[in-house]
Amino acid sequence: MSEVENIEVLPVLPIKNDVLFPYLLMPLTAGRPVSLAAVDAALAGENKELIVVTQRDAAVDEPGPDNLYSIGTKAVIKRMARRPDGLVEMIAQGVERVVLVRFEQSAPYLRARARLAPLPEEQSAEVEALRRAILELAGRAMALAQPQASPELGQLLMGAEDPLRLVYLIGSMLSLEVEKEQALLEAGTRLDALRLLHAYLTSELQILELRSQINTQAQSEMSKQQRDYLLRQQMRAIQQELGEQNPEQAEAELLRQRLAEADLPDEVRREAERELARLEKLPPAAPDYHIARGYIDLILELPWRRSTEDQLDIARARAVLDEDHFDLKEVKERILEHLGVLKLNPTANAPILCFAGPPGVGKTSLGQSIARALGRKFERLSLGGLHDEAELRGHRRTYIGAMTGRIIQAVRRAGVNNPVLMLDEVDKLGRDFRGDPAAALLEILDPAQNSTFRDNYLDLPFDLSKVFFIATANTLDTIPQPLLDRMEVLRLAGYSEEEKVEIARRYLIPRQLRETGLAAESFTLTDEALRRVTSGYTREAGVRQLERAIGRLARRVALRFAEGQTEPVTVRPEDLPDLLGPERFSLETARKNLPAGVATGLAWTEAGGDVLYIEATLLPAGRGLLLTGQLGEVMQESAKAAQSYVWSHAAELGIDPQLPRRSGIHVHVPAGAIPKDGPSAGVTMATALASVYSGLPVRQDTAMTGEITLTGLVLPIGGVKEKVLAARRAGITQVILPKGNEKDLRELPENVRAEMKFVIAERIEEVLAAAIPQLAERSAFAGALGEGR
Amino acid sequence: MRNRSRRASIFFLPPAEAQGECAWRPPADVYRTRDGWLVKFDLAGVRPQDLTLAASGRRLTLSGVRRDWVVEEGWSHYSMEISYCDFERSLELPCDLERAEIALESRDGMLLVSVRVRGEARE
Repeated sequence: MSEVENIEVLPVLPIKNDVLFPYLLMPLTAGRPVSLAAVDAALAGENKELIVVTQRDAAVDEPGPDNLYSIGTKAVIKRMARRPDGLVEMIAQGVERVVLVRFEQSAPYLRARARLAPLPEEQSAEVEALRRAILELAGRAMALAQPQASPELGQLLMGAEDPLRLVYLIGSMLSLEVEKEQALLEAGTRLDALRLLHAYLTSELQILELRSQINTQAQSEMSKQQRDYLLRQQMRAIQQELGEQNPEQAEAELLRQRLAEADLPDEVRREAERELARLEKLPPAAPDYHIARGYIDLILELPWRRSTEDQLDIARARAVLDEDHFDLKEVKERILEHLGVLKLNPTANAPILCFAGPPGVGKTSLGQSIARALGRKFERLSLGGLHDEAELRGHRRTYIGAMTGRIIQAVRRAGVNNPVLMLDEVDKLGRDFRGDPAAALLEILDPAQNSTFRDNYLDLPFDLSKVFFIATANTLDTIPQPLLDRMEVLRLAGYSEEEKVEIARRYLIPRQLRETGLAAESFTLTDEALRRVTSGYTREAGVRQLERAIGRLARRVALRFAEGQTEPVTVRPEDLPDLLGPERFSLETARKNLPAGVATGLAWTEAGGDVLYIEATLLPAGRGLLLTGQLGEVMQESAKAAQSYVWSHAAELGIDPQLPRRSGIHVHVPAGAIPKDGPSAGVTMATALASVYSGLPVRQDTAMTGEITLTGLVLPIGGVKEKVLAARRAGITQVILPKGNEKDLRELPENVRAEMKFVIAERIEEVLAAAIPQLAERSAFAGALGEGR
Repeated sequence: MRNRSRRASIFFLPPAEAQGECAWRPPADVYRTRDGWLVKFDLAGVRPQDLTLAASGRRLTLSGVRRDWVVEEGWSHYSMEISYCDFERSLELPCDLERAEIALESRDGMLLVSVRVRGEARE
């Protein structure tokens, strides 16, 4: 071949990320304008030839001559087709290695003068040795990469007699970086190419071997476990030969010893021994082994016959109760009564009490001090939000992860069978498809049944009759009737302001001083300031917010001391805005100058009592009775009853009988967003109606409560103490109460009773007489007129 | 330009793709005639001057190049399936070709190579 023949001028197709080797086929897609133009130029030629060169930097989109390697491959386009999106797909076949000599043009496509540069034939022992080594490596790599690869492939490699072709074939198959592939193409001699490929193939093989090693690791982990198992079996056999005990047997022996020492009822002992015998037969790896072990442990730990001695010194108990809690006479008396009973009859069942009252009145802490007074252990479990019966009664042992119920757990924790067990928030039990925990409580809280309480996990009767159960609740409405029936309900009403001040003096302030580390003499809170904190910064039936507020005061003062103050601090009412910020609750004052149609009622809420106003106004005829303010059904009915009564007795009440017929009426109870219900606003509604029909205002210093009937009777209601305290807070001086509630007045603190005037009413006329004095005069006058007629 | 993922995971390509020969191979039929052999190559579009036939021993080798002589200025390919460039086809016949008479004829896109063996006649 002459020098001239070796030079060709051809279009250049730059490609990214790959190298086309001679002899090999490669699918290509041309999309860039330069590439498309080059391909078109090649196709326009008779031989469809072009030069494929790899770009040095794949990120460059329009590569110039500088961006191309100088050695490429002359190729022939074997097939091509245009895609609808304008790209050209083709299969190109490498023909020969070329060296780019000079670029003839760069637009619209690159065109270069290239010299064909085939590698000269070479035959030496080294070439042959490398060829065989490469074949061997490739065979191994193939087996690792694709064990199921077709044998044809191997034959193909074996068949490639030309070592260079073998190099290119394998080089294109390896996942090599572009630089390495290009280096392979640029290798100046066959020997160099073979050496290069040998190096690449060796490192590829290493990677593949590492990969397969990782893959087999998981397998070997499995077999390690099997090995361990076998070794353990052997060890056991050897120990048996030697007459030694294995650790499991030692453990069983220990349990047997503990069982022998434990004080258990016969039935329980039999069950425990049965389970222990089963345990000894089980291999320690069996899941049942641990279940059985846990079960025996539980039996051994439960206080079947262990109990604490009650402290029956009544004077001491009274002192303990008084020390911890202020007032709450009823509850304390009940506890002392029980102590008295125990003194006479030590086997008496413990009572089951339920403390009902607003948050923060000390229900939970009262439980603790009862335990202290009686000298019993105290355990507490919160039932709030509990909705699964199994939580109380446990799961059967057959289930994985089964546990005892919370009752048995609490007894186990207490370590004695007569603790004080507090069931907090019994009114907040949930229920769903998994069962009703309240139903499980029925058994637990029934003195007739709970001496043989069966936990599902334990599956043995446990005597709970010595447990002193105390439930707590904020409201009794959500407690199912049968459950409520089993408990002795003791109401803890909210505290009056005086009581709160007293509680703060006795308990809250000393406690907060202890917490903040202040000396008692360095922090003084005047009575007036304390009252202002109670009324201006808290609104609650209990004393939680109050304690927080006092805590805040104490911390503020502690901060001053920490900053270097040495003088004792006395907090006065005028200091409070500085220390606690502006007052959060303005004193709930009674509305002044009530217009006709507005009456003051009293409501009971979970947080204590509240004053509420009932507003009535006349509407055009034919509008009937309109009720608004989120009233519940009972309250609406009670409004209707009040209306009917006022209508039917209009004349006697001193109201124009035509007026109710001529006009409709609207009754509204603010605050409109708070739902209200209950019958106790009946008398207030009747008063508001009487007021609006007569046009006479209701006395603004008077509040009233009571249920009304169609015949005008006033029936008793609940929550008298809270309601009266709320009225007093609001500055009301006279409260009208049903006759049936007269007895409840005893619950009120002395000073409240002395300060306020109570009107006891049996009929609505008495209520109206006290609430709207002018109406009473008018009706008396009307009555006199009627009589005169 | 090229989808690299094609090779990213597999070490070896399917043989068909890797196997590419540089030249394409025209298909051929071989007939036994009364007085010799007829080899018919499917070889359309190849100009006679681009064709070489060589015989040595029993081996008959046809090689050459097919050029795309249709394209004119301003045309462009929309798709291409016909192989251009060099081709080569080699056949072995059960007779000594050195002593045979070989004639070439191009008819309807087929290239007919008739081999008449002297002194050999079919019964």
